[in-house]
Amino acid sequence: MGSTYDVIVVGLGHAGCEAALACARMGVSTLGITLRKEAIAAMSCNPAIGGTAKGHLVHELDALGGEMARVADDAGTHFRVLNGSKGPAVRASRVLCDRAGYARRMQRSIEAQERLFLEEAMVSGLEVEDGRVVGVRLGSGEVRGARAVILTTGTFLQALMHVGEQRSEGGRVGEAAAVGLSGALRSLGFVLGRFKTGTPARLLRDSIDFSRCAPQPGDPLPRPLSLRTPREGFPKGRQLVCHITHTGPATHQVIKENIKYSPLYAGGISGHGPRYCPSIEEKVVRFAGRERHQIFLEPDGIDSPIVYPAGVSTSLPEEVQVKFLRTIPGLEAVELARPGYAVEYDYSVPTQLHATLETRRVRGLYFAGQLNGTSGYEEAAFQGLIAGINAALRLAGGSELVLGRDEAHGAVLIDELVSRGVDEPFRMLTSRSEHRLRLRESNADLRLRGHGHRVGLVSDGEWAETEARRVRIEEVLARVRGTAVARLLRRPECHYGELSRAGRVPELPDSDAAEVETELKYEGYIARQSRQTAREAGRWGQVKIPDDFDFHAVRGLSTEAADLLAAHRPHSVLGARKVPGVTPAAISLLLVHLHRKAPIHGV
Amino acid sequence: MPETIVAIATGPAEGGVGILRISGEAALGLGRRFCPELPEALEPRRAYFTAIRDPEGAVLDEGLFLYFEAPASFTGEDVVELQTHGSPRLLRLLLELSASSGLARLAQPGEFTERAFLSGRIDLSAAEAAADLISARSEAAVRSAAASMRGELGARVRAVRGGLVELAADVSASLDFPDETEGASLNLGARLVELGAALEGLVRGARSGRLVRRGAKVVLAGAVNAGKSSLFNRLLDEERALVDGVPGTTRDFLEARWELDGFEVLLVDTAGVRADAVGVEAEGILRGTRAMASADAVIWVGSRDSGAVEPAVLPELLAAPLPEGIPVLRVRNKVDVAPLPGEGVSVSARTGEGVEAVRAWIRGLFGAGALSERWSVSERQAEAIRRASEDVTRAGDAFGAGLLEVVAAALSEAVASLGEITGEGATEAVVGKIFERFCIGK
Repeated sequence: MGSTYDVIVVGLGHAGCEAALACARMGVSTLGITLRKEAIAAMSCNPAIGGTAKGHLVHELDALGGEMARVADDAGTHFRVLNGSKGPAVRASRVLCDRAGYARRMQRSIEAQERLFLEEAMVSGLEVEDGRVVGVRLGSGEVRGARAVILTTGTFLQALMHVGEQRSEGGRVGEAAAVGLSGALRSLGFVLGRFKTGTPARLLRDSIDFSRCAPQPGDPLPRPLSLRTPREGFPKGRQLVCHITHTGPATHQVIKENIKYSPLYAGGISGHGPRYCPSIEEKVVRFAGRERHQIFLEPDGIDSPIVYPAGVSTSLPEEVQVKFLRTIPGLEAVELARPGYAVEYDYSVPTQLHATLETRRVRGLYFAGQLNGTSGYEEAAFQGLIAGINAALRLAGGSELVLGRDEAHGAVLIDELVSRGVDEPFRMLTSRSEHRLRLRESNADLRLRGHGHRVGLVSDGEWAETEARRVRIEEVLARVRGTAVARLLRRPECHYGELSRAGRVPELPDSDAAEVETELKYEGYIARQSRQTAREAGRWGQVKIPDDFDFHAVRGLSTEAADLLAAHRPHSVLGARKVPGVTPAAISLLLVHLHRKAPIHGV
Repeated sequence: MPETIVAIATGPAEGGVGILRISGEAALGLGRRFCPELPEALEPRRAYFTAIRDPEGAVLDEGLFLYFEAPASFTGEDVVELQTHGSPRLLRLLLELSASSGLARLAQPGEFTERAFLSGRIDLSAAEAAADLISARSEAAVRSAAASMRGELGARVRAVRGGLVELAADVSASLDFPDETEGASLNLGARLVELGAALEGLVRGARSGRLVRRGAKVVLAGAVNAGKSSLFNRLLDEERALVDGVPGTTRDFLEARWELDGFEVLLVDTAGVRADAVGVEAEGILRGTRAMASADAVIWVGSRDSGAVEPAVLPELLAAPLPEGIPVLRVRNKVDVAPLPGEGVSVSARTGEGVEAVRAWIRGLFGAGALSERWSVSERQAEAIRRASEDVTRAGDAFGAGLLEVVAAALSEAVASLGEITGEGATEAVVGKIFERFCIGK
């Protein structure tokens, strides 16, 4: 066997970068293998980081010691807070980045990282001995040894791109697909599924008449995503303006006339696409009553000649794309830099994973990112970070990091993946978190920096800062709870600053004051939510399902339900309740069966 | 294959018809032992009129024999029903003969229902309704349990839940996809009010459904010598309580089970309340207080000569507040002697004047409408409905305070609460609805 590393990370997209950096920073020697170094950290879809739920994920990743937030801050060209008026928990940051600048900035972090080595190669197989991964096999036949392997191959497994009726192999325009690995995973017993996703055409900026679109500038006082980004000199680069336009009846007419050329409708694509991110042809068909669909024209970068039209992802033939785009205000004379396309790819059914993202089947093997059926840079990055942390912790003999659903949206993301699985590319939504009110961007540091510090990704100094903030907030809370001041602060129109100026509460930095205010306003709601969740979890979570449980032996359970449960192998009735397609009646039968074997109290 | 089980399917009292039910593989064989004259080929679901004989061939009774072939039966197994003339002694004999035959064993309580549930013939809420059916005590309870079995409760709850899911999806979509849903009209306030009212209806239905099932406990309370016992007797139409003109006669409390228009009422007469009571009398007042703590309704009786203590000061006198939300009827007794001004119903327990109005009020506790329109709910279901109603009230408060994300959370909880009845999860429902209703794309 050739050179040996502690960890090998296969693929250096958003998941791989976080995984590789976390491992190397936690002190284990790490090899990152990529098809092409220049493509490391490429933003293959829109040039944005954050948004609702995604902004939360990035804040959480940052608090745990991940890299994405810092990079986005450095490459940001347009910072905006969404939902500013809808409440502190759903307030979410979104940053448009300079696409090339983002990749370059991440590549610098990767290249400068001690203990992190890079190799350009295609991985075609895994080396497994006694149920444990020991390395990877390269396309050349060479082997690289490792004690742990993290696969973050994104959409590159058996990837097939569609533009109209043209098909080509490849995970991204101009890039090869990863071949061989799918077969290798299948022969190890992994179940793979097939998904599709799409991306819009890229437009040439100079061919757009922006005067016909509504400008959308960034926030006047942009705020960084990362706790580590210094406020001085922020934002670094020039800030750009985004524009809004929309499709119209003429657009829809063109699309309807040509729908037969869409591989989706011609039957050329077999994978499932996401409901939340449909192509414009799907939108036109499914929401036939809508007269217009909004389009955000997002600049690709400061010096880039390209604009990304968010909202019109498509796999129609190029000439049809040009035709319908030119019906859109501002795009009457638009020229394409390249057409939009759909990509089909293999994903690994994520219920085959532990919550650490280690596979159940092969020890030391971790899967993260789009490979697990998710969608989005932030979802991928968070998983990469968790997989990296856990791989490194395992090698160092430390206890694993599994966050609770009440601690992080990222934990909800992973829990949904591993206990519920996916039936479409999975995008995080704050609505998926039953603890949404508690899981705010603004308290990600308080929730998670302690974990980041424990695993070694957050420095003593950084942690001390957060602890000092926690103490400041808790002291004030302890002082005002139960007083008239607390009652005042619960009123929506009352703010800490006013009371502080009136001398009724101590002065606090703005971010701390906001936290105090939110804590008080939401205390009652959050306590209720916690009780509700505890009741639910207590009721079902404690009813364990043994590992060797035979679901087909449950009397009355339909074969279909038994097959579903057997495939997901939930560890508890709580987990079984989350398996899609399992009916309440099936759960009742399962409960009765388990109850007969050993009486369950309180059910 | 599980053992064959047998039980008497009708109540213990002597009635017109008594049913012996057998379920399991040996059901047909055992049934034929009692009815040797049956034809060789039996048509399932057909009633055969036949003699019922003991193993020696002696005729015990004549009755109907019904055979339900698996899986088209209540339990999903072979089921035989023997309908006899209902003598408890005969039924017990048949049961003993069945058990001693070695073909079947006596069923445990609820075991038929359990098998029906296990074989997928009924869902959990129907199983719970069946459990209620088994413990049902009056005719109305039986009917309302049957209504729930047919899924009336399920249908009502599903309808409200559907509205909640849509509203939760709309609110959540505006939080999760602010750009795409910009300008969409939520009409949140009006929809919250509407759903709140629908849930209130469910809560009321659940409350009266619960009363239908287990009966209503109605406590007569009031000042000493206000004529509570006279009213008690008058309501029951019998001289049950000891009636005496000297204050403090009812030292303890009296209870009577009473069937009012098919509803079961437990009427409780308590000792009169007065501040200076001592000894046995004070103890009696204390017991009355306890009776009131578990009451479903209180009838507060006053009269001019009793000093007419107001219900408002009741908690202080009793040193214990009335449980919240309990309906209280104020009755002004002895109107024939000295009318007491104020609110409430004027009654003369002595002449019977106004007593019908009190009866009507009690009857109203069970809800309006025909018996068949009501549905029975288990305690678990009633609790889930009540929580959902509170969730929606909270959503309304949060809406008033402008906290949209709290509205979303409260609505999701309401969906989850009702999901405990219908067995559906909240998050997926809401997320699924978002994608169905909103055009969200990249």
